[in-house]
Amino acid sequence: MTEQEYNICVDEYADRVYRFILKNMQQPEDAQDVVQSAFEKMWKHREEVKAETAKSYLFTVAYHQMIDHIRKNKRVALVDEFNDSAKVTGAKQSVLKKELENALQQLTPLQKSLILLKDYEGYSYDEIGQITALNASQVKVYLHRARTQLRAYLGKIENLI
Amino acid sequence: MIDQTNFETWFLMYADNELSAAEKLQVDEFVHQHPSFKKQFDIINQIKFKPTDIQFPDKSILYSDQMEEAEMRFVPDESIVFPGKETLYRQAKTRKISWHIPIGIAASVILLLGLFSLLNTQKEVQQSKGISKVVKQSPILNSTDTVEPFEQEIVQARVVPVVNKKNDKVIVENILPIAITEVIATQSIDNIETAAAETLPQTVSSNFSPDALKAAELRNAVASVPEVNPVAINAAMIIEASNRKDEHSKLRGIARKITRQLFRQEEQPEGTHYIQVASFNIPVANKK
Repeated sequence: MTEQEYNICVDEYADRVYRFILKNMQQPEDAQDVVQSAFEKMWKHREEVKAETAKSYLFTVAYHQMIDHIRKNKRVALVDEFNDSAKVTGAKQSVLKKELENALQQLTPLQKSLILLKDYEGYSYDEIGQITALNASQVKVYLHRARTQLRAYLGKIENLI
Repeated sequence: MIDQTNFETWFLMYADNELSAAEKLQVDEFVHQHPSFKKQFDIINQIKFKPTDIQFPDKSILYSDQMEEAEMRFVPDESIVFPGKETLYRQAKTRKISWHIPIGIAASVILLLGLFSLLNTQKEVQQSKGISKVVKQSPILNSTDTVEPFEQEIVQARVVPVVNKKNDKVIVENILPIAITEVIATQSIDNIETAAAETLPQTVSSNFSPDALKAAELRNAVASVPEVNPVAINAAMIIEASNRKDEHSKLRGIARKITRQLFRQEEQPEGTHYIQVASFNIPVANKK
């Protein structure tokens, strides 16, 4: 990877990786640190990293750094907004969208990552498996389990609404 | 093929966009034919997250120029060198094991041992001389003299252990009250008896019998023999004390040789005593 290709990667993938990490960690400062570390690592190994695989490389590095960070800090994302949001009155779709965000935070980091990699980036089961060090079948099973969990959560909210 | 038993997996794979166009068409057809499943199909497809407009706050820190700068901070500055390398080399040299130190320690111990022995011997010689002097200064008992028994000078002759050269035995005399008219302290062991006999007065007025006096004289004469080198005696005693075994060990022999070499005394014409240690003559005291 050339220096120019590296800078293109910054333009193309920095926001995407940041969103993915921020949705998982809920801490902007920590998410920025993780993204910066991922880009530093790619710069350090730019001789070995190809431009075509740069996106996958960045997501893989960022994902593992995030998991390490979460394990070290064992931070529990407190969903303080849950009660407030439940009180919010407005369009049903808007409430559901908000609740969907809350529901996401109820999942484990792995489940969140699988869903975000699928929905945000549109990665295939295989690609997600490469990033998260799982095989495609595992990704499929875990991902479907996560969606079923979200569906059950949303079903309860829907009934409340 | 999608049916009522596996429709959920198909719905999920549809939501994950993992189905081909033909498979998607099958799912659409299934939902159309089974409206009761439409609600579930819609819910699963609602559970999808669309990317937000969240952006990384400051991309400038990620660009290559910043990365290069960050990299530069960690490059070691090889122009900085340790100024005092020579001192380190010298310290490394001094750590080498030298044989001079143990040899010096051993020599010092031997020297101290010798000096200690010499001082002890000098002290004992002084004591011995003192006794002889007292004996010499004791009043001579002539045949005409009448001396009160209790006014006679009673000398407690403390006899030190002396090696008898002939029999190689250690003679240890007890402390005895002796009244002696005169003792010549320079008699050799060989003619102690003769000399003592000659020095005894023919007629002595004393409370003791002549035989008792003669025997006491003999004992005292043996005790005051100064001929044997006192240093050698003391050294020999030290060696004997440290080698109480009956059999002769090699160490004992070596120790004796060293002692003879170290404590060999030489007398210069001026009467100065020297102890020869290797090639050095160490003056000890003037003999008067």
